[in-house]
Formats: sequence, C-alpha cells, structure tokens
Amino acid sequence: MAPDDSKGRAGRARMAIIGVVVIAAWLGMGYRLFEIQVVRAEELADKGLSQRLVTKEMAPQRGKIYDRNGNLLAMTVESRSLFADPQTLEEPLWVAQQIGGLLGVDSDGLYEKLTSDSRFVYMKRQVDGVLADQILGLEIPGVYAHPEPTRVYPAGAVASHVTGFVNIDGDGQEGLELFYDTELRGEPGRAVYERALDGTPILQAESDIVPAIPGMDLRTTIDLPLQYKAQESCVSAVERTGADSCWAVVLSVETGEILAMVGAPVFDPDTRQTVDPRCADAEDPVSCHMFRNFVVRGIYEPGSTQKMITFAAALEEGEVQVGTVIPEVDDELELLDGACKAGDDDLHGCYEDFDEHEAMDMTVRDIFTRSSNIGTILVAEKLGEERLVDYIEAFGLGQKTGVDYTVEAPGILRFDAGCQTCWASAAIGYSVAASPLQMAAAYAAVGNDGIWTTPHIVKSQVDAQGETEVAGIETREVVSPGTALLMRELLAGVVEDGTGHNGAVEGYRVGGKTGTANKLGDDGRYTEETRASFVGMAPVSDPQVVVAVVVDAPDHAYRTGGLAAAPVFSEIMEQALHRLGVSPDGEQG
Amino acid sequence: MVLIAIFAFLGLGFARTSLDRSAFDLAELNRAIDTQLALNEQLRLEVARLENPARIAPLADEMGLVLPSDTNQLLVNLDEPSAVVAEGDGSGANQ
Repeated sequence: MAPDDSKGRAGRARMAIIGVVVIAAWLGMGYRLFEIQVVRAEELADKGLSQRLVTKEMAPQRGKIYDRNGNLLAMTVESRSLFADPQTLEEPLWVAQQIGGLLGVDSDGLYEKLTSDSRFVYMKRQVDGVLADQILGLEIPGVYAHPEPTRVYPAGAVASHVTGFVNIDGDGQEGLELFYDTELRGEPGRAVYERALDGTPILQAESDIVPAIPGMDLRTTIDLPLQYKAQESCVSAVERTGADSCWAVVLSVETGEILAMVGAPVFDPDTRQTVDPRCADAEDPVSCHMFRNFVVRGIYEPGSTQKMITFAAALEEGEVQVGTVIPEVDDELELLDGACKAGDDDLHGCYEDFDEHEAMDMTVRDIFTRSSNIGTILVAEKLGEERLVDYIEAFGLGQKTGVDYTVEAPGILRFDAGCQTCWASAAIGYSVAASPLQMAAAYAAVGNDGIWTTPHIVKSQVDAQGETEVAGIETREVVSPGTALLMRELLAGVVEDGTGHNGAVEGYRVGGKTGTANKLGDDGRYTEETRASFVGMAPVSDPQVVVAVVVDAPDHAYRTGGLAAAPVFSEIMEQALHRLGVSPDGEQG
Repeated sequence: MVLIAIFAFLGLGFARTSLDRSAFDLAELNRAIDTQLALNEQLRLEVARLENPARIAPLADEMGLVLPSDTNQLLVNLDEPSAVVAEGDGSGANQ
C-alpha cells in the first residue's frame, strides 16, 4: 500500500469524524435551541421576566400646611436614614463613639446595636442630608444610607399647638396632622416595570404605573405673625404671674375662623421637646399633657365669664332690662338652710361676692359691671333652671363646637341628681365646665348679632383639581340682634368701669368679662388655686375679633382674671386689630 | 434583496441601541429632576425658616424697630382735596 493512499484514508477518516462531530454539535445546538425556543419557551420567558420585573411602591408626598397668608407651617423634605450591617462593620466601638457623637445618639446603645447578630440596624433615621454626606464620605465599611422623607415645621414652636406633629413614620399624632391625616397622607402609587441589570428601567418593555396621589395641602385660618405675638404674650404671662400655663384663642367674629391658638409652655414639633419640667420625665411625649391643646381639649369652670350667658338669657326672655333694679343685693346668699353657717363652699348652697359690701339696690348693669355673684343668681332665679340651661346649651356649652381639631372636649353641663343649687352655681360659672374655645365661640355669637358660628382652623384644601373651601360651617341664632347689642354695651361697661379695665386697648372700645374660678382639688373641694380668664371682643361698635385667655394657677397676687388674663387679652387684641386693619372706634384705654 | 436585508438588520440594531440609550438618558433626567425638586423643597424650607416671626422679631428688636405706639388716622377733607390732616402724636405709623 502506497503511503499516499494510507494518508488519504486517514485524512478522510479524520474529516468524517470531524464532520460527524460538527454535525452532532449542530444537532445538539439545534436540539438545545429547539428546547429553549419551543419546548421550554414559555417557562424560560416567565423566569426571565420575573428576574427583570420589579414592583415598586411609590410613597405619596404628604401635603403641606400653610397659614392664611401662605406662610409654611409644615412640609415634608427628603432626608437620609443611616443604617449599618454589623456583620461587615470592622470597628463597631469606634463607629459607636465617633459617629454616634456626630449623630447625637447614645454611644452605648449604638454599640449594642452594632455588635448584634442582625444584618441591618438603624444608626439614626432622618438625618440632615449634609451630615449624612459627611458621614458617608468617611467610607466606613458597613455603614450605608437610604433616602427617607421627614416632616419639618418651619415656624417651629410658634404654631406647634395648631399643627401638632407626626411620628417618625409620618403618621399624624396630634393637632391638624392627626385630624387631617387621611387628607394630608395622599394615596401611594405602584410601578411594575422591567429593569436592566443596573436597575435602569427598560423603556421599550411593558410597564404598569399607577402614580402616587400627593396629599392635600391645607390652608389654615391662622395668621402666623398674630400667632407669634399671641404666644409671646402667653409666655410672658406665665413668667410674670408664675402660672402653670396660659392659653389663648383669637376668633373672627363673623366667620368663626381661628386666627391664632396658642399655649405656653410651648414645645418644638420638630423635636417634641418642651421647656415644661412636668414633661421632662415623660416616657411617651404624646402622653405628656403639654402636647394637649387646652384651648380645644381642656375644660374648666369658666367662672364669671359665664355670666354673659345668664344676662343674655334674662334680657332675651324679657325677665330684666339693663336698668332693672334688683333690691337688697347682699354679699352673701344662703340657698340651703345653714350652708353659710357651716362654712361650706359654693357646691353646697352658700354663695359670696368677691368683695365684701353692704346690702344695696343694684341695677342689672351694676351687677354685671361689678361681677356680683349674688346679683347674678337673683337674676338667674327669675329665669329658672330650665330656661337657663337651654340658653347655656344654645350658646354651645356642654357639646362639641365641631372645630376641626382632634379629640375636642364637649365640656360638662350635667347637674347631679337632686342638686338643688346647681342652677345657681351654673349662673356664675360653677358646676359647668367649658373649653376656652367654647367660651370664645359663645362671645363671638354676641359680637355677631346673636349668630353662633362653628369655629374652624382650616379654610380650604388644595389638590391637583384646585382649592376646595371647607364645608360644615354651621350657624344658628342664639339671641336676637337687640339683645346682642345690649350685651355688647354691658361688656364694654365691664372694661370701662368694672373689673376688666386691664383689658382695654388704646383707641378702641373693648367689651369683655373677667373670670376667676377656684380649681377643684383631688378631694372634690375647691382650693385656693384659680383659673383666671378674660373673654372679650373689639371694637364694640362692630366687633371683628374675640379673644379668650385662660391663665392656669397664677400666683396669689395675680389670682383674678382682671390681673392675670386681662393684660394678656389686651396685648393680643391690640395686635389682632392692627393685623386686621380695623379702624379705631373710641378713646377707651 | 440581500443588501436591503443587511441594511434593515443594521437599522434595527441601531434603533434598538438608540432606544436603550434613551432609556439611560431618561433615567438620568428623572434623577436630575428629583434632585432639583428636593433642592427646591429644601430652599422653600429655608425661606420659611428665615421668614419665621420668631426669628425676625428679636432681630428687629435688636435693630431698635418697635411696633407703632399710637394709631394715627388720616382725615381727608373732601371739599379741599389737597388738605390732609393727620391725627395722633406722630410717633407711630399710619394705620
């Protein structure tokens, strides 16, 4: 056999083998292709899609809160939340001490978290972006950040009792933030889309996006500069009188809009820190009473400020005229036999005037101006319990006003069964309990020609569709315009000639009433501590504003409404009249 | 035919690449918008904080600015349009 032939055969054999291998490979690939594209096509397509497909929840932007002039009271901004993976952290002690110090968190507590078995621990949530960038710039292995919205309050403590606050997860906890939580929150959106390896959305792929609906913005009735001045006046009053707290509300007479609502001591809604030492040890800040708005939620015996209702009722029913003389008004009245001899207090049928005086004939005007308890009870006697209670209810006491604020107190207008003298106590502001807002609304009715209007804080809600005025503002006639006019003159007399002269405002005629009510002790008996109040309106010729002030437990030297609350009223009223551009109507002051 | 098929194939490839690039550009633009929106919100917050009366009032106090001490009224004599009479002690601003 020639060598060439054997080479040729070997070459052909190799070619044949290679050919077979190639054909086998092609067949293999063809089979694989067939399997992928035809046999398992659906299964593999689904598998690929599930790897590319992302479902992402889109959080809605929480609505903003504005004052009546467009000043921001609350908004949401982007912040960073710093977290760590303890398993990859190399120097937990150093991180806890150094970074904990920068973040202002307890380093021991942080160290405990950083040395745990977890793969994810928060170092601090909602950190300012600049500080977060500084910390991330240190490139510490195991320390990361993710963006998170945070609620901020640019007006700080000034409007804290109005806005309230949210918790760290953005849920409303207090104030407007809680009452309008649903409206402010908005609705989350959802995006289902395909993404590339780096997370970029694949534009040509199908997607299903339901955009988030941002929360509504709230435009409140609050006037921020007036709110500030009112709060400043209250803070000063607490310092001046040594009181536990001071609360004030400014109400527009005609519309029921709350122009300012303040309390002192104050708290910062951003940090929920307060200067009130009684809250220093509170484990849960929300449980601390200083976060509760006394204007809406607090109830107190209104004392002599309640007499406005008693006299308005008696005048409206025609039982007395302003000039009617009530004979022999003494400084003490015993409605239950032996009550005064036993030295009992008002709850048991013995009533006294604040100042001692001889028995004398007094006109209705004198009784009101001098705030005589005995004279007022004698006027109320002509009305009778039933009609007196009807008018107290009509003026809005004993029921919620309907203000748009959380957990409003209805007050108390319920006499104990068998109580023979509760009507007399109610006539002078005892045995009933009302909130400062209820008293302000009652006085606003007198200022508004006898028409009571629902007080409210939010003027309108704004969303993508536009601005919507709030609904549900009710009005009702409580007394006739004539009676309201007479009451305004009586109230002016209190400031011009009576106990309320400290409530005067230069250039304006002011009408108002002082109130001094002893506080009930734990044993149910009255103590020496008082709640001093003043409620009034201006200008008397055409009232625009009502201000109610309550000073809780002032020092004995300031124990009356005229001394503790009336000066605060005067300061706030002056600012309110200036802010609203109300023309002067008199020389009082 | 072959040439048309080749050009069509290349054209499709180019279009596909362009679309992919657009997706990246769009994502980048969205990120830029988000950044600018966040910055805008931060600036609004800063403006609101600067306008807070609790910040301005003490500064105004330091500068000696005070609220008007009296209410002045301008009484306009309609018979003589040029005559304007001011009431008050002049220490305050006109209201």
